[in-house]
Amino acid sequence: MTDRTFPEKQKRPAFLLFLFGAACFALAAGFACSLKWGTAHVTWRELLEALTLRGEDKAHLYIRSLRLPRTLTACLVGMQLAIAGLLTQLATRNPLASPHVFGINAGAALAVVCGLAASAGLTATQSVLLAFAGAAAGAALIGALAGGGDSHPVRLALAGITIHFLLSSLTEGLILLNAHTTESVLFWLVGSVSQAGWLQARTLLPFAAGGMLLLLLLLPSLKLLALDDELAAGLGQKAKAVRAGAIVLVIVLAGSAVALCGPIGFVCLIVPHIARALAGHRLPVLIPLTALLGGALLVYADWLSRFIAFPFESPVGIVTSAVGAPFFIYMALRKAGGKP
Amino acid sequence: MKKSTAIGLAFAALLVSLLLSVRLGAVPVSFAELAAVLAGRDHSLAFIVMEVRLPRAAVAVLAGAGLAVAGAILQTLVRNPLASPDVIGMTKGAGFAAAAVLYLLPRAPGYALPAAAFAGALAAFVLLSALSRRFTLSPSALALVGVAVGALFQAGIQYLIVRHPGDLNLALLWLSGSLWGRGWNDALSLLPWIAILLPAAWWNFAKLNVIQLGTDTSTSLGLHVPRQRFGLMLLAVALAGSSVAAVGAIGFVGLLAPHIARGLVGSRNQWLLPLAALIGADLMLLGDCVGRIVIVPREVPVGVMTALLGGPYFVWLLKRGRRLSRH
Repeated sequence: MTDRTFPEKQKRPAFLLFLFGAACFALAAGFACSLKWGTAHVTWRELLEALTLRGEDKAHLYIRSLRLPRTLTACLVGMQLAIAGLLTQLATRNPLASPHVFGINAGAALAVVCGLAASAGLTATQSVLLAFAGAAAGAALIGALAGGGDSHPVRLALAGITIHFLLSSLTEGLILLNAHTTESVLFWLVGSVSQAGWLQARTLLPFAAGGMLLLLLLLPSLKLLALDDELAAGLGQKAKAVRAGAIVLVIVLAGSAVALCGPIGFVCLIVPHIARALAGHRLPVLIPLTALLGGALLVYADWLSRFIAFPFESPVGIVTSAVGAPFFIYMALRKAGGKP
Repeated sequence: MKKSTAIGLAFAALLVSLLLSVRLGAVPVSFAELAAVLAGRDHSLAFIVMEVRLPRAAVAVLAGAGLAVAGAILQTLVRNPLASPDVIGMTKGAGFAAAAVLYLLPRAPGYALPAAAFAGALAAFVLLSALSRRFTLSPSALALVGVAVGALFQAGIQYLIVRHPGDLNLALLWLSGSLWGRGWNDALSLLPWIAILLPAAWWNFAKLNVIQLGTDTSTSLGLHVPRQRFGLMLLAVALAGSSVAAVGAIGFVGLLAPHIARGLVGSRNQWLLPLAALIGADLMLLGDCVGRIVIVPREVPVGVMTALLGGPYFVWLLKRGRRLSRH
């Protein structure tokens, strides 16, 4: 993103093919690990039988009703967050941007907790809709701050993360005020897929699919976002509409992910950077690779989170923060290095 | 505003908010009842006033003053208006170390907690200065890196919390900072730190005034800058760490109070430091009061109230910085 003014050396098709093959393999291996190892012991044989719908033992049911939906949800959430991060970075032309850093995730979380405070029995779809409202509010807040549009990337990121802190401390306060708080809310607040079942996966799927469809429709015009505003205006007035479309997409993807699995941090920030470093800036290549890597990263992070306090579960958000925060520091230093 | 007037007003505000915080809460105490308690005539309310509200107010005053002075010293040392113990990750580092002691070594003696918090705050600061020395950082970049360092420690706190499920109130205390359930022993373990460190900070006002002029000027005025900077930095770390050990990672007090104080009396530290301490204590007390009475009988942690106040101010500060740098 930094050197977009220079025509970039095209990556060779063979290399790209290898890259996608490796990413797919990593995702598949992550699925296998996530299904095989965890608190309960499962043999390979049982795993195979469960996946091919043979066998009705306890282990088979365990895999089919707990581990499989959990892994699928992790993969979907990772994909959605990674794409949301990529779109945020494109729309704001700021490499430090992501729904997490900009308070969009925290806004969605706050709205869901507000809903929980108002009525205890919130269906999954209701909480997703609430999360959309909260995410939109977070986006509007940061949009109002970005105002002139010429903010320095570092300063905008700092303003965004302040909003994130503000909204998340409100969420924590609300949780304290509510009598029916449980451990699971705390898990959700840090970001966790450990309680995801088929219900969560089924709720998430239409939003993920719809989001990807919308993304396909937007894809030809997304290139506009990388151009300077004057240049885009010279090519027609579409840049604003495309940017608005991208932000709506971010709200849908990040909002639905947060509603079900909590504000998982930093996935949305680091994955687009890794994908860009590997595959270059061409969007038709970059977007699917970002999705694949995001899914793989979250599946592995979820798998790892089962072992950091074995045999107890830990929220996956801890793992992504531990990996993502140093990366964020590195990015901020690189972005700001050399400036007085 | 005249400097003595400002300090007098801040002190009056401190007394008023002290009175309010003793009177208000789930069980309101009228002036007459308060007088009766203080005279030793009323025993039904004596417990609430003497054992619950007074120690709590004392902790609020001490920690608020500690955080505010730590912020004032840091802003002078790194010559960055955005610096404060919470923005540069120090409170989270202290909170992580304190939470680690609380959860992992439940039988540790009382003095271990502030000491651990001090070590945690020091670790965060050393990490940040190691990172910012290699790269010369702009004020907002330093703040952003500090925030990220804080996020790292935050993940550590969250890990400790979910690893040791139990008291949710205690858990959220370390996440957002709260005065819930603070008693005399908390006040007494914080008191020696603040009582020694605050005068020590004020004792150094002349050095801080010189450092404010920049490294070159201070060196030519005969100040051994690295040594003085190191000593003052330790002072700020100790103030922030001991405060966090008592009240958790409360944000924005260390940022707001020195800014308000600077707006009132300018940046000469002999006035700035005491005023910042008073304003920090005011902010904590008032935040706690409001948090206690908005939704009776439950309470909003004081960390949330300070974030509500400080968050918008910080964003406004960033916007103003942008406007200033453009012109």
